Amino acid sequence: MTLTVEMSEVEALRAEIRALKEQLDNKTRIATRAMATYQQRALQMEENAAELRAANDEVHRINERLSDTLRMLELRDRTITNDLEQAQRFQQLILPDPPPSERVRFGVFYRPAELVGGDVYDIYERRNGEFRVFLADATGHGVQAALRTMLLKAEYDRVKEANSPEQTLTALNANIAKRYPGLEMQCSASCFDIVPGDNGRSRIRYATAAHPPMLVFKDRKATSLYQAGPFLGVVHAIELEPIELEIEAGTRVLIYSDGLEDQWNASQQEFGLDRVEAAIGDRERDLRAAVEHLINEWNLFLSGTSPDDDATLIAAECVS
Amino acid sequence: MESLRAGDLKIDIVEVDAAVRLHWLGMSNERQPEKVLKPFFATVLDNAGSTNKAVELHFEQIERFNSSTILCIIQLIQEARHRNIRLEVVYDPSRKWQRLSFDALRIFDKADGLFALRPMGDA
Repeated sequence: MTLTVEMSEVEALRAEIRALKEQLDNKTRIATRAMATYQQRALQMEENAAELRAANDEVHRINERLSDTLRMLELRDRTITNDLEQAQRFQQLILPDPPPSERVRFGVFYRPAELVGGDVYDIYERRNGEFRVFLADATGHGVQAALRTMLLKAEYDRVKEANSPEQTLTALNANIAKRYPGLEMQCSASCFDIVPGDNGRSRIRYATAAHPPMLVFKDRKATSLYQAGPFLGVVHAIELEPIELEIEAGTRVLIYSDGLEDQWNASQQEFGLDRVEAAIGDRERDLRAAVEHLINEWNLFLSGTSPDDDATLIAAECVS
Repeated sequence: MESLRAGDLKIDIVEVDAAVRLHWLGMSNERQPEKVLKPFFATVLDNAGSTNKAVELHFEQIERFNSSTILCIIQLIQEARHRNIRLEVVYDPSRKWQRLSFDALRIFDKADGLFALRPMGDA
């Protein structure tokens, strides 16, 4: 009896051992598979890490190349800006300061749309107290227009002693049409003489070629002197009709390029002539202060936005 | 021929029996309008030349254009004359900027009849 019980216990123990062994085998298989998987993943991770290191190296190299390119662009930008600033200084040298005179006061407002611009002007004392004023607006913007102004000024200097403003402009037209074909030297221009008289009155002789009209301020309100005229540099021979007028001491006259009024701000408002009339027609300010006031109005109007076009104004006033 | 759209500018083309009409709309305010206008005008002149039609530029509805645009128009007028193609400009003289710009083109109005400036409303 005792032996039988013992045998069955042994059998049970054996069965239990088999079961445990099977379980152990299963777990070993699972562990082996898991180990194999982990090893495979570890290998994969190592490969991935190597790829990542290579990609990282490549990104680093690209970053270095980009930095080099950026440094080169910055250098070129600095060079271009330096060149433009040099060009700006050249251009400013050909634009005279308003000359001091006991008979005529001048006010000048000159704002290129970029560092350099396509407007050019001159105020030249022909005889004692008698002046010839010239303003031209070359086609285009920026550097190309600025180069045209250099040529225009040189050509103007050749002809500025002609007998009258209209002769000056017709001679200028002939020269630029003849000498610079294909250079798109077309421009609009105005020219006037101001001759103070002994009776407190002054004579104005004015000629224009496709330029905005001259404004005459006897009081606050401006009178516009419009005369149709062709662009300069388009055909070889043109005819211009001058306008002559006599003005009293204190009357202000001004010529301007179209960029002065045809200027739009970020709110799509036009600067227009009303602000010009209000500033220049203001008798409580002397002419120079009136022009300064206009410049402030202009800056306020644009509020940091870039001008669309070059803008120039030359105002003159005879004193008694 | 297709109309032109460039920035704020649109030029619609209407072909009639005797003319190719270019209706300018919006604003021509690009700093370098010649980049789009020159090739467009070349196509217009090719078309007008091959079909023996005149070219009409209509500015009645345009809001504004800048001074660089007028140079392109001058070059178009000169090229049209060179190719013996009649060109007519119709504008609105009641608008100061248009009168100022187009009065300056009267210099092209010659006896050969190849260029005409017509104020809006004139027959």
